[in-house]
Amino acid sequence: MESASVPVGQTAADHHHGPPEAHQSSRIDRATLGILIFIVSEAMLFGAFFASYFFLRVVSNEGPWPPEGFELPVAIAGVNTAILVSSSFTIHWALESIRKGNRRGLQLGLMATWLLGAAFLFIQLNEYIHIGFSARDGAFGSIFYGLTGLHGAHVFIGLLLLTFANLRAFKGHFGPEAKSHLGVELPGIYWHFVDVMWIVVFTVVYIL
Amino acid sequence: MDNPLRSEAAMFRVVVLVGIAAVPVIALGLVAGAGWALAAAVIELVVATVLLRRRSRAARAQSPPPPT
Repeated sequence: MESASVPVGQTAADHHHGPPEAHQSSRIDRATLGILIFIVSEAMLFGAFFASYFFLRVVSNEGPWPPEGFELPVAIAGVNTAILVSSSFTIHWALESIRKGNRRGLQLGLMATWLLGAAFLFIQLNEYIHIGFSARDGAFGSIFYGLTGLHGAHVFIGLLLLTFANLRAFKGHFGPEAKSHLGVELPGIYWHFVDVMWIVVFTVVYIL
Repeated sequence: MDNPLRSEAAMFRVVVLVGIAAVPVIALGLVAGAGWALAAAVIELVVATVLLRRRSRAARAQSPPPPT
């Protein structure tokens, strides 16, 4: 049987198992860099969908937009926008709380963010049920469901991340130091990105 | 210029800025029509691009030269 003791002349810290530590810039944390690159790629994905939207609307469409027979529930989507934007404030509050060592504020902020995000998704699914057209109903239906559905999928992923952050917050995992609440900071960056994208989607699809 | 994706606080400022910028576009779209809203959105985008460019040039001028 192999001995688990540290060899003579080495401290426990020198006795490193596994692959060597990955090289990293001193200016940006690896996890933050990862979410940054991920969000840039996501912005490009949304950009591709917006390009399709404007192509269908401007280049290949003759007549009114949305086409006759299609009506969008602007008021409901507006309320949904307010709900999602509010969730950015609650997650920011959660992070500000943990930065000051207020664990209760973190838990309440994360819980409120999760509930607001879930409410947004529920209202959007309800909108899909009652909207009166499907993704098969022409180019408008396809791109409407494509864009809003892409965003809804991002909200769903954000909710999963927030679920983990909530569970960890209630287990007492996070602390006031920057390194000790990365598990909330990174979902927070992602959640803000999802909010910004929704403001753009709502303005372009429902208003313009 | 700071990278807005570097921290949650910086990204939150982006949400607030985009939200504030969207209010007149949405209001014009609902009250006056999509054409006016589009015009407002284009003006805002141009102003934002000019401001961002100015800010990034100023930040670059202030940053220390790279080590030789």
